[in-house]
Amino acid sequence: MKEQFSDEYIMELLSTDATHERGFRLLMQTFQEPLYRHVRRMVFDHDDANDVIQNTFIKVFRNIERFEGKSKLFTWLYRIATNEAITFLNSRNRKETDTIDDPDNARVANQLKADTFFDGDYIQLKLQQAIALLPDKQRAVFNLRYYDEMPYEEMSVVLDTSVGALKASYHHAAKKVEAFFKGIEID
Amino acid sequence: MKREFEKELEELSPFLADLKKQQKDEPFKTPRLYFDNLADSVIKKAKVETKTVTVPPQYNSRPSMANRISDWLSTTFKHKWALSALAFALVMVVGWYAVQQQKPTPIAVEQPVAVTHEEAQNYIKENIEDFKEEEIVTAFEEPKEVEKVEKLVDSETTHVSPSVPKLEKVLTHPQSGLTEAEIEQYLLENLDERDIYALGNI
Repeated sequence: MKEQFSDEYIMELLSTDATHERGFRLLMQTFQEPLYRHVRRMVFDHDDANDVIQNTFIKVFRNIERFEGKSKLFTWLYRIATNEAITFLNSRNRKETDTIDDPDNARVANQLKADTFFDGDYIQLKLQQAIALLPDKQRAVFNLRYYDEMPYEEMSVVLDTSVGALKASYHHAAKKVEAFFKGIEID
Repeated sequence: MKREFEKELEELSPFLADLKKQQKDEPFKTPRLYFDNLADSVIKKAKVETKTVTVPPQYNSRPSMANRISDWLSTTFKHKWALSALAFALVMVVGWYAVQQQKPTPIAVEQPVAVTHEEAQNYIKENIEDFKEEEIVTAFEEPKEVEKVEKLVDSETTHVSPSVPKLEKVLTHPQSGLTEAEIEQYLLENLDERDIYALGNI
């Protein structure tokens, strides 16, 4: 079982030159897997997720002094990772010209079928197709609540959005996903 | 007691709530040892451009002067244009200095100082011992100057030697501290024939 370390202990190690790298390794050891999964559910492809998660941790390495301790370290890291993932998706959407002929859900379905690092059954594939239809930020809301079971108050910090707006967004996203399975169109 | 998010999902979408219970396994996989090597990869990339370690402010003390100078230098020289500007400024300063060194230094022209005759007389009276006898003799070659000195000396209560009458009056000034015999002896020892001849013509 993986050992867990407190935010205070990790930050203490990060505060001195002699222990900085050790502190950063502990930070990664503690948070890399949940952060990777969150990013992977946003971008679907492992290589893309790898790029995003590396950029995320590089930013954390260079800007750790900006963490003021007002929220949990985990929440702060989720915020950076989510922003990095949305930035990546926006950039990819601008570059790709075939998005009209090959919408997100169809592309994701083909991508996941060919992905050796996707091990889901038909239902999982269908669920990811449905999630791919959601706008980027709404997708983040749905994933954080559905998969990570994150409280709305914490999500509010991660996404810089009010709790009420997040609840509405999640409810709307869940209805869209369900409708996709049932073959119903929802705006 | 059901957790908040489970209750919420069941109320919102029983279909998704059931789906979540059935799909427990994570469909997204990673390459073998991916998470074991991720930290090394990230740290290696992060260090390429990050030479100095930054620490959170709440755990950090005030940076030392050396660190602040180092930070300033690293910030200043981060941009190539700043380095170019500094090099250009340095070249300009050195060039200006070299040009200044080659210019001839202007020689100060001594301006004539207006000294009144009375001031000159007073100066001679007070510093008679500083004058060489040649200077005094030369001065007496000018008849007008002789008259002036005579008048000056006449005002003093000094004894005049008959052999070197006018000159002795000057040299026996009370401030000189010399006796008549000493002056006479000195002149005999130091004046040559031309001097004596010149004195005789006065």
